[in-house]
Amino acid sequence: MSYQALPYTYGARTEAQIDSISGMITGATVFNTTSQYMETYNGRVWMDERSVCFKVSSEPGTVVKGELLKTSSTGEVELAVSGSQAEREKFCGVATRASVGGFVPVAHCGKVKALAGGTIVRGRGVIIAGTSGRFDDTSSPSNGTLGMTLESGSSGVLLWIALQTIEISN
Amino acid sequence: MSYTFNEKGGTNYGIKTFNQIFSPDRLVTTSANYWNPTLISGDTVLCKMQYTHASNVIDNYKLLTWYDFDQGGSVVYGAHWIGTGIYLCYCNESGGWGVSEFVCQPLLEDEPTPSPGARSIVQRATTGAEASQPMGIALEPASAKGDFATVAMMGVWPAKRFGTLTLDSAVYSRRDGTGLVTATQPASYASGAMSKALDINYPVVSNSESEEVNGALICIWGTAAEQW
Repeated sequence: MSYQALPYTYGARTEAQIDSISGMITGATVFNTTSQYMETYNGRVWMDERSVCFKVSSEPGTVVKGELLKTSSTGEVELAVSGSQAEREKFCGVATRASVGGFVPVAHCGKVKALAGGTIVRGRGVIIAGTSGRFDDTSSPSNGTLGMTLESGSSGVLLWIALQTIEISN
Repeated sequence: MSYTFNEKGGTNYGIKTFNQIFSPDRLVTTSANYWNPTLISGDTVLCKMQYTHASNVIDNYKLLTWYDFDQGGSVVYGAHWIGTGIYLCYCNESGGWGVSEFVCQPLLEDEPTPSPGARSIVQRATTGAEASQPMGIALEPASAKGDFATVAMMGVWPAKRFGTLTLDSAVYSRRDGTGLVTATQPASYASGAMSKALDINYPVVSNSESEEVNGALICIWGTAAEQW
């Protein structure tokens, strides 16, 4: 069956087409053919099954698609950066879109595009990079691993990763 | 059926709140949460969870489908609201559990009676070891051992809470048989972390009289801590 046939509010569209829609109302639905998830408009951003809507902290102010994020003590999101165990606990997911009006949808599980912090090899563990908002890979997955890399690529590129795979080490 | 009513966001019933769909007072006509449609397998609804985040009101939606697990045959499992990450589970507690209580899947040496079939065997944690094997939030009550009820293993759901949670650290299951969530890890830091709180004060309806208990809106898998 074709996804084009699914009669959501806006049918099936690419992510670029969805982002150009105007006048949508809260609860409107669309099938995103780029991510291949159904999305619902929550009045601020388009959300899918992987996502939670967060307010972006004054620092960084805005977020771009694919950045790794952590929560502050107020619950607002900031760019994640490698650090201590306590810092890693603050990780909350990856931005599935650029922020809109200070709000951003954040994927906490599933397949998602994330910004590479270095040269990435497919099939390795995902860890938070030393560069803010980016991820790195590890050939020795262990404590602190967030998921798995699904494709290879270079620094600064959006690459598919799988968030929250089965616990690798304990 | 299903996804064809575009004026309602592409679902049969449009947007309904979590309490209209799941709370224990939803079938009481005088309740503010009253909603009692005649459902047909395949019907759909958008389940709304609204939370206050950094002084902003934010809506979260979950697509649910009413599904008859017996497909018109003899009632074994019944019909339930299901969706991504929601599973029909077997209640392994003689006294059952309530909505928004957290259940775990402990290691069991013996098959329980009555038979669970192929369903996950879950119960509220009574030890640190059990709490280290979290399953998820019960969306439906279970009244006795052998009942089948839905449990959410991912996403945003209300949970009954013990004590105080924070917005930047992980959430765990209590190990005292209450099914409450807590900020205190069950055994070591690594064991049993399963979510992060989005709203640390989110009252949960606990009975058909609409009485509320302390709760929080949590995002299951919303933290990296379970990997640490």
